[in-house]
Amino acid sequence: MDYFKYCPWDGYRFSDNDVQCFICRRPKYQLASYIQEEQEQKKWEKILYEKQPYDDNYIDETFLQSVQKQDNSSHGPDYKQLISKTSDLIFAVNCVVFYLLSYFLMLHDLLSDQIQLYFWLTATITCLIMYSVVKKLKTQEILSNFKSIGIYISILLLFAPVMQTVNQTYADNTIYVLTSVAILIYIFLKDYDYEKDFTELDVSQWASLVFSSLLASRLHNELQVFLMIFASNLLFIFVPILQRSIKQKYGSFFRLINLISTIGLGLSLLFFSYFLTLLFFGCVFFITFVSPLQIIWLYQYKNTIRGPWDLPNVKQYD
Amino acid sequence: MVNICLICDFFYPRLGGVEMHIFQLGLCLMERGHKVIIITHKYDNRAGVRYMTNGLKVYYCPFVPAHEQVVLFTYMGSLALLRQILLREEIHVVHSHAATSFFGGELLLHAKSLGFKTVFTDHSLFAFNDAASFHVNKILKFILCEVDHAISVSHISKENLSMRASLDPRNISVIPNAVDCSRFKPDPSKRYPLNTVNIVVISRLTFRKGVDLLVDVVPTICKKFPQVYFIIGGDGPKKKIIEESIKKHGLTDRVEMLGSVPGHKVREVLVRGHIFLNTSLTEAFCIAIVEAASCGLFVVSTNVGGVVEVLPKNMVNFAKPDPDDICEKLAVAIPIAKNVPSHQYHEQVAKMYSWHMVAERTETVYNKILSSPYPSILSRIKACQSNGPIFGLYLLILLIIDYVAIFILDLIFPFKNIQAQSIKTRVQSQQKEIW
Repeated sequence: MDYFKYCPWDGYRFSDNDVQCFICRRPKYQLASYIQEEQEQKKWEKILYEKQPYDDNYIDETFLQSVQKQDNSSHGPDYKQLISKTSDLIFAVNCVVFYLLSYFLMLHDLLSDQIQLYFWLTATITCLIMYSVVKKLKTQEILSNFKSIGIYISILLLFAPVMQTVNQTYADNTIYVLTSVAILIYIFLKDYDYEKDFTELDVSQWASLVFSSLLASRLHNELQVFLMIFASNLLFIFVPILQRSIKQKYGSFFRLINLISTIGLGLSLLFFSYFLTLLFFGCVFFITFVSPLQIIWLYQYKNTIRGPWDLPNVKQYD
Repeated sequence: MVNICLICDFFYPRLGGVEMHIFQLGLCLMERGHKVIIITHKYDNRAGVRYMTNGLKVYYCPFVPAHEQVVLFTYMGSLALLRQILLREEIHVVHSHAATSFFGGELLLHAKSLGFKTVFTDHSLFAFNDAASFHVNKILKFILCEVDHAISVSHISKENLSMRASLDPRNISVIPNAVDCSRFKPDPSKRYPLNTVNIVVISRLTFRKGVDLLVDVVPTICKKFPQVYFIIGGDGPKKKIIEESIKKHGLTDRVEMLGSVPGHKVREVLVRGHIFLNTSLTEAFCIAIVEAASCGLFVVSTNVGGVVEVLPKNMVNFAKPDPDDICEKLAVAIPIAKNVPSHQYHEQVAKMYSWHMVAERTETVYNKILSSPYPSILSRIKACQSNGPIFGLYLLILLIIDYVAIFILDLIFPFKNIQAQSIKTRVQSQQKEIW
């Protein structure tokens, strides 16, 4: 056992029998325990208001303890869940394909304008009725919605001649390239999680208006222009609102509609081209079954780091 | 004596935490006998060389800020002028501040090729999971891959910086910010209105300062405590939301909106209060609560970032960033607010934080790096490669371009033709005589 031979405060020499210093009365410590006591007294703390007896670049054992890393091995995404989530994307693709199909029929006069008009008006009324049933709207609200649709149709009819001539001077190639880009923007930037409240148009909805006005300029008469723009507003602005309402309450019903519409669209493409049908079904298969597998494989590389520097989730007022 | 160059996009006439830090640090380092210059970009018609307090020399370089007072990162655009300044002033250490100051970052890159030692001080916390942070962190890693030493203002900030820039934590020192306590003295006689418990909030009214929490807290506290009076200073995009909330709850006689408060009037507002409320969602250090404590106010703050390290528990109540928890902690603070020992708080804060201490600790960092050997070109290449195979190659090319550009500048403007700054200001020579 090691003891101080001399008192460190005043130099008094200890004898073997001394328990404390004769001058300052401090106890005669065991050397190792004294040093350990000193060290224990001055444990490093994660504070700034005291100057601690450590260097400024001292690294404590608690360094980075506040970091939380995501454990990718146990919380990977579920395959079935991912497949059900792809239904929103498939629905958006179906809407686009259906719109382009209608445009093609109109452009080549394969279906008369009157049949198309009746079809879209019937579709609008059906969607409104479904929306009213799902949201359980009152009679006054339903009538107000119909009134709004009526006003909107009148305004659109007035502007149809203008919309026909706006992009007429552009070459067909330019129109189709711009349309393709706008369609891609619509699909990639669409709000699939329905985070926004539909009070104002977002980028994807503006993209849908852009490509519909571009395509409308290639059509032959004002009625066709009106129908195309009306159809785009219905399919890309109103139908997502209806889709969200239906999905919240009747998820299986929505998936059934999705499945039927996908098969129906694919089969209708057969009348035009086998290649297009194969391409369509191939895309649907890739998005629904292959992409989720890729996401699951990529998840092992996901590196989420959380710590006290992250902004907390706080309700925001606008 | 060490010749130090402090560089940042943010400096006077802009007033803020980083700007005050650079100014005060510069002054205190000069008092310790070092030569200090500050380099920043021009502000409106403030361009050229200016001398501030005690002869602190500031170069307002003719670079126009591109966005939010930050100069566009051109890599080569500033090399010639900055080389001239650094060689003329015979600088030893280049010290950059703030991760979003690309002017400082650019000089840090060139300083290594020019043969100077480099230090970086980080004042902010950044996350890892949003798009803006990805880019800032990548650029910071690139800029700091060769820095000699880094300084953080809190321990959380050190952890954050070491992860963001992949720095060795042994090369990061924690040196907290400080406050000029002589400017923030308590004065309980100035508490107004009387017979109320005054809660002061002074901050930029933005999302990051937790103004959305304030919208919920103010009506709740006003309803629960009839004697409470809020004094809210500051401006920002969220100001209208607070004003609407005050009108909605009929609290116009219980809440006073001061608008933007100039820096020299902050103390006048603080001394009116008993409690200082801080609702920030993220802070590396939070000088505001230290200023408030120095003025003798009891602090109620969110426990985010580095705030928990700043004040001892007898001076602050920490709450989660949730309106209910903040109200709960305020409810504990309000009954004791009038019995807070203001002058004792002031003396405590004066002992805890001072710019002289910051300068002394920063000087230790400078001495440490000046005694370390200069890195070889091979180690610089390895440092570039640490950024990854593709980006590392890109950085290597930039490094070669840097050396070539410096070589050309050495031919056109040789070092021997650059007149060293041997003219001392009258104030500096007078100070030397006094010492």
